[in-house]
Amino acid sequence: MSRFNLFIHYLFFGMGIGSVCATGCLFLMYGANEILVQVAGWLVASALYGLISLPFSENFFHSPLHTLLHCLLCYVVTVVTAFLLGYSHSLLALIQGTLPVFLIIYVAVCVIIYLYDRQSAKTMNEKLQKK
Amino acid sequence: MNITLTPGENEELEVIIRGDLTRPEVPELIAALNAAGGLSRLFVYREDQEILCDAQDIDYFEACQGRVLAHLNGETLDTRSKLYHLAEQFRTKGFIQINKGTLVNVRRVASIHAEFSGNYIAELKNGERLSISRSYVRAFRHYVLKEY
Repeated sequence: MSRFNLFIHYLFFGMGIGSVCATGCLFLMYGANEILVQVAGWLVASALYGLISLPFSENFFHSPLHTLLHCLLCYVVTVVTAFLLGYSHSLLALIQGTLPVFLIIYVAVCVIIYLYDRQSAKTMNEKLQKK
Repeated sequence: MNITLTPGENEELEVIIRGDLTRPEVPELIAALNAAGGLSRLFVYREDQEILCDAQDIDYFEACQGRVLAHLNGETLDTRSKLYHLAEQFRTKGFIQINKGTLVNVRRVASIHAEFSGNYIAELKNGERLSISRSYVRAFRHYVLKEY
């Protein structure tokens, strides 16, 4: 792994562990105030997004239909989290409130990952063509 | 079985198996030599016919319905081996696992393309396309950039 990739890897690894520890410590210090409850809720949702992605890492799930399924499952987690955090008790209102933001973030994350993968493929191709 | 060791001038070791090559010990000897990193040959089977072939001629190994098949020169032959076993034997010969059921010969890979789903496609020099699943991409990338 290049130094830059290693840097990014450990940066996000640290943020992942740090966010869980920090949230736990803040809960102990300040109790379950509204903002902390929201942070904890979205942390749990983030963990679920990661777990949903796990079966999609194998090659059985590489058609556009499966990408759509992944998107749908992540959105269900989003709606349930928003409901449990009390954003609204109306499904329509929840969808209206969360869908645009969810789609923007989901597409942005997919595009960033895809651009990273393309760069990675380019690096590998340069090496393969040297041989 | 007689074993004769003869000193020679060449730095590279030469192993000659002479005799009845249909004996059951021969594939085991070849496997042992492969494991020692000395050989890149293996037996493959076309129905009941046994063929000794060079691993470099193989495009990829594929696990399919309980068997591991070798794809080479447009043909598909049975290896009568396990995928993990072949992965261990031929790692130093340019073979790397790219998904649960496929071991590709990196020398046969023409190019890699990223898919939007997060998987990659390895396009072989013969035009075939194989999927590199995300969970194997890191190892594949490391192999191509550092070991190959």
